Amino acid sequence: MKILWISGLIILSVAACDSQEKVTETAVEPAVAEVAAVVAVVTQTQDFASLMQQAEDLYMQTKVAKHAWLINLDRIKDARLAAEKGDMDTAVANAEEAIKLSRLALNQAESEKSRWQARVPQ
Amino acid sequence: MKWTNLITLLLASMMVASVQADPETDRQALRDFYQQKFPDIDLAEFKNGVYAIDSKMREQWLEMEDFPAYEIAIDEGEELYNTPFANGKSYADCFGDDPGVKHNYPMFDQARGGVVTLEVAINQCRKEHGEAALPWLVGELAEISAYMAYQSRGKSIDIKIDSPEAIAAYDDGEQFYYTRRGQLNFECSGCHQQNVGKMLRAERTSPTLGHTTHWPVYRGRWQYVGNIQKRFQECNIQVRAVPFEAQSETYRNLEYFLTYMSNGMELNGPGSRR
Amino acid sequence: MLRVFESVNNLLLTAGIATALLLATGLVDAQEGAIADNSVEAELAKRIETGRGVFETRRKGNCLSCHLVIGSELPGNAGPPLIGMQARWPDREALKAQIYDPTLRNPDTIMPPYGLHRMLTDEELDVLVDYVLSL
Ligand code: HEC
Ligand code: HEC
Repeated sequence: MKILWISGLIILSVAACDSQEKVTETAVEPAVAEVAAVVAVVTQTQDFASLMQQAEDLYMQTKVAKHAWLINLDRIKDARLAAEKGDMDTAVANAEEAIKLSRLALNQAESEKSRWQARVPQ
Repeated sequence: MKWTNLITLLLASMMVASVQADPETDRQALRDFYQQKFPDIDLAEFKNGVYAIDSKMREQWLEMEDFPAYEIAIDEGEELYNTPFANGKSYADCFGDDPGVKHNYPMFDQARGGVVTLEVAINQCRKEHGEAALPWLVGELAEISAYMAYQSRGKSIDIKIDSPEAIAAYDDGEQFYYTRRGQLNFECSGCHQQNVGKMLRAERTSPTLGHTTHWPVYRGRWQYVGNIQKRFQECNIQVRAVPFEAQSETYRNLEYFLTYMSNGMELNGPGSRR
Repeated sequence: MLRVFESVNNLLLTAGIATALLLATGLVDAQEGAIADNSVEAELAKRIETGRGVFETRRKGNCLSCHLVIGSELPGNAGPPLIGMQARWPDREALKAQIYDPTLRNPDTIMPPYGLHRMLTDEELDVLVDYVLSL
C-alpha cells in the first residue's frame, strides 16, 4: 500500500515536472527560434548583399578587361531573381558561381596577354 | 662578361622588335600562311570567303547569286543616298561625286584620334547636316553602305596606317583577333586560321584573308542585309563571350586590322552568305 | 529383381531430384548473378546514355561540332574522330583530364576546357567519360 502511494507520488511529480518543462518549452522556444531565424535571414541577406556586390564588381572587372563571359550575366540574374523570391540558398549559390566564373575570365585575360602574340603568323 | 652583356642586349632588342607589329610584314606573313595551306587556290579567290575553299557550297552560292537577295538593299540604299537632307545638302557633300569610296575605309582619323569605319562616316555626315544618326547594324545604314559598296566594286582595298596612333589602333585590333575569349576559350584566329577549312558541325570556317571584301552581307539566317560588326558580335557570342557594342573602339580597331589584312584585294560587296 | 529395379529406380529418382534441386539452386544462383550483372550493366548503360546526351547537346558538350563518332549526323572535323577509345585511353582519369582541360596536354588546342571553365559539372564529366570509353 505504502509502495503504491510512493510510486503514485513519483509518477505525479514526474508528470508535473514534465508539464512544467513543456510550459517553458512552448513559451521560450518559439521566441528563440524566431529570433534565430530572423538573425539567420538578416546575416544571410547581409552575406548575400556583400557577395552580390563582389560578384558585380568582379563582373565589371572582366568587362573592363574585355573578357566578360555571357554565362556570368545569367548567374547574376539568377542570383537576383532567387533573392527576390526569398530563396537565399539558390541566390548565394549563383552569386558564388558568378564570382568563380569572373575569376576564371580574369585569369584568361591575364594569361592571354603573353600568349596571343605567338599565334600571329610569322 | 662582355659577351653576356651583348647577348642580353641582343635579346632585348629582339624582344622589342617582336613586340612592335609591322602591319605590312603581318599581312605578307598571313598571305604566305594561306598560300601554304591552300597551294592550289589563287588568294584573290578568298574574296568569296568560304566558297573559295568548298566547291559544293560554292555551287549553291552561285545559284543564290543569280538572283541576289541584296539587290533590293542596293536600290533602297541608292534612293536614300540621293535624297537630300533637310538642309538641302546630301551625302555627296561629304563623300564627293563618286559614292564608291569603300576601299578607303576604315581610315584612321588623326583629328578625331580614332578609326572611322564607313558606317561611322555616314552617320558623321548625317550629324554634320543636322540629321539623326541611324542604327548601326541593320536597316537604312546597312542599305546605304550596300549601295556604296556596290559602287566600289572592282576597286582594291587601300587602307593606310601611317601614324603612331594609327599603328596603336591596328595593334589593338590585332591583339583582339589573336586573343582567346569567352567561356569556350577561342581566339578569332583559332577558327579562321589554325582550323581554317575545318567543319564545325555543318559550317566550314573561312580564311581571315578576304573577310572584309564583301560587306554588308545578306545572310540567309538573318533574312536581311547587315554590317560586318553584326558578324563580329555573333562570332563573339558563339564562344560565349559578351559581345561588344557596334562601332565601339574595340570593334572599330578590329575592323581596321582585319581590313588591312585584305589590303590590295578586290571589293565585291555587297555579298550573300548562308 | 523388381525390387532391385524399384530401388534403383528410387535411387535414380532420388538422384534425379537431388540433381534437379542442385541444378535448380545452381540456376537460381546463376540467375542471381545474372540479375546482379544486369543491373550493373543497366546502370552503366544508363550512364552512357546520359553521357551521350551531354556529348550531343549544344548547350552542354556540343562535342559533335568537332568530333566524328560512328553514326553521328553532321559531325565536325576540327578534332580527331573518337573511335576505339578504350584501347587508347586505358586510364580513365587521364581521359577525364583531357576533357577537363585539354590545354594541359596541348596549350594550342582549340578544344574548350570543359571542367576548368565550369561548362560541365563533375558528374557530367564522369558520365561523359563513360560514354567516350564506350566509343
Ligand atoms: C568557333 C569558331 C569561330 C570563332 C572563334 C570565330 N569565328 Fe568567325 N566565323 C565562324 C564561322 C563558322 C563562320 C561562318 C562560315 C565562314 O567562316 O564564313 C564565321 C564567319 C565570320 C565572318 C564572315 C565571313 C564571310 O565570308 O562573310 C567574319 C568576318 C568573322 N567570322 C570574323 C570573326 C572574328 C572577328 C572573330 C573573333 C572575334 C571570329 N570570327 C571568331 C566561326 C568562328
Ligand atoms: C572546337 C573543337 C572541339 C570540341 C568542341 C571538342 N573537342 Fe575534343 N579535341 C579537339 C581537338 C582539336 C583534339 C586533338 C587534340 C588536341 O588538340 O590537343 C581533341 C581531342 C580530344 C580527345 C582525345 C582524342 C584522342 O583520340 O586521343 C578526346 C577524348 C576529346 N577530344 C573529347 C572531347 C569531348 C568529350 C568533347 C565534348 C565535351 C570535345 N572533345 C569537344 C577539338 C574539340
